[in-house]
Amino acid sequence: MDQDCKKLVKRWENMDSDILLKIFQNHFNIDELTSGLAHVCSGWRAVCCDPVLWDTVNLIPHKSIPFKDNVNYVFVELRSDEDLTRMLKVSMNLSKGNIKTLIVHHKLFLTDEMVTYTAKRCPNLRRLVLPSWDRIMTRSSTICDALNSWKKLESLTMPSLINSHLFFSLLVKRRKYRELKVMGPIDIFFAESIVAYLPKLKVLSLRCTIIDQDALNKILDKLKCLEVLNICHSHIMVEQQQQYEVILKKASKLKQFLTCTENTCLICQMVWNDQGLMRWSMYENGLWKADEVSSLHL
Amino acid sequence: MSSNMIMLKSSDGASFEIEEAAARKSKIIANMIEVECVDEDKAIPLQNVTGNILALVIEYCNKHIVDDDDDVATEEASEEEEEAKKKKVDDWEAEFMNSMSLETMFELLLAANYLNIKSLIDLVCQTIANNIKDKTPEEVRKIFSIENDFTPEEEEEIRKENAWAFG
Repeated sequence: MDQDCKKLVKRWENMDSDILLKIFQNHFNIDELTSGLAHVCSGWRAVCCDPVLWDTVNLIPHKSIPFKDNVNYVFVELRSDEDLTRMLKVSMNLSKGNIKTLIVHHKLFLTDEMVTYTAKRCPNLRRLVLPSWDRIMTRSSTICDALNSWKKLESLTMPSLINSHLFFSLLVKRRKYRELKVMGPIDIFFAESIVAYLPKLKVLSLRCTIIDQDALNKILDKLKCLEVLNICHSHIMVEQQQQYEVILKKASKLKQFLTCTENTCLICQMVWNDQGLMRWSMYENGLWKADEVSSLHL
Repeated sequence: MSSNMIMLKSSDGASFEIEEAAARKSKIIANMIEVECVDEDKAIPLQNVTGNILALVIEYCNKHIVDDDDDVATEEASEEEEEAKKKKVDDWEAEFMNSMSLETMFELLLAANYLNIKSLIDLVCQTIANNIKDKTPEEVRKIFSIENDFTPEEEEEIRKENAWAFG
């Protein structure tokens, strides 16, 4: 019996790391990966640091976070902030700078401190999906500093901003940005900023929102590299039907121009009811992740 | 019985007869058959798999080859039938995994990996994962009889890493 036990001891600790990696990779999400696997023994910790596990990090909210959405501010339970801080710290330590894609759930509100901490530890980030900035805009430079430090960033998903020019003016002009998705209304100032600061965009998704006609014209006229534009379920504010025709004509020159052509589309109706600022948490779970552009779809 | 039978020999010398179709669940054996390495009268020696484990592997392969045949035969089966069949397989797999000790599971995983049987690897990995999920490091160590080999300094680092605040 004793001998059997010893045999077992030797084995699980020295379990072929490829197999252990397979288990961690296919059967554990970030929450479970950071829950204590890396604290079992040094062998398991080494496997937990494998870059394969950290290429894409999908930060999901802990179950049962009681929180309320409000127009002006966000309430977050202290407990969920603590959990998130712990999850971030463990994943940043284990990933050793190998995270290339970071996806933050739209219900997860990062603080300035969390963003700064993450920025320092993800030097190789290529894609960031951060739909909720409600708590970071208190000091507007935080997010800009972070974005400026991610030199390899190519794809960004962000909310729409009221003072977009303030944000963009702090941003180093980025020719590397290839993809942008904005989750919220687009006005002319926002469009001007995009044109000025992200001139090499190839893919732009402005789905499920309200877009000002001048903004759309600006984008179509000035973004010379643009190949794909997704405005599915979005409402374009035009004064006359004729102006809409002009926009369509310009857009037809793109490689791909995506719109919703259904007359009685349910999502279009939701967008209208929500005035372009979708209350995603009211709808089917995961609806916020959708995008007609496959590289932006989650 | 339409399909050919082939022989497998475990590391401890036990021989098993298995339908070729079932044996093909293993990519390694399928490859051997493709390149005609298999002599009808001679058993394929499997150096890394003991008899008791090979018996389990064969039980799994036989079970799943029957299911695959069923799929072909009832291509137009209704969705409910499909679901019922899937449930039957799931139940069988749960029972199959439930009946073995962690040590056996470990050996079965090594064997599945060696023989390259993807669905069996997935099944065992899932079962092991379920044994680990929602457990504290101490509990995991206990279940798998793993020794905590971190130094006090490393322990301290880990404690800090897990604190609920930055800094």
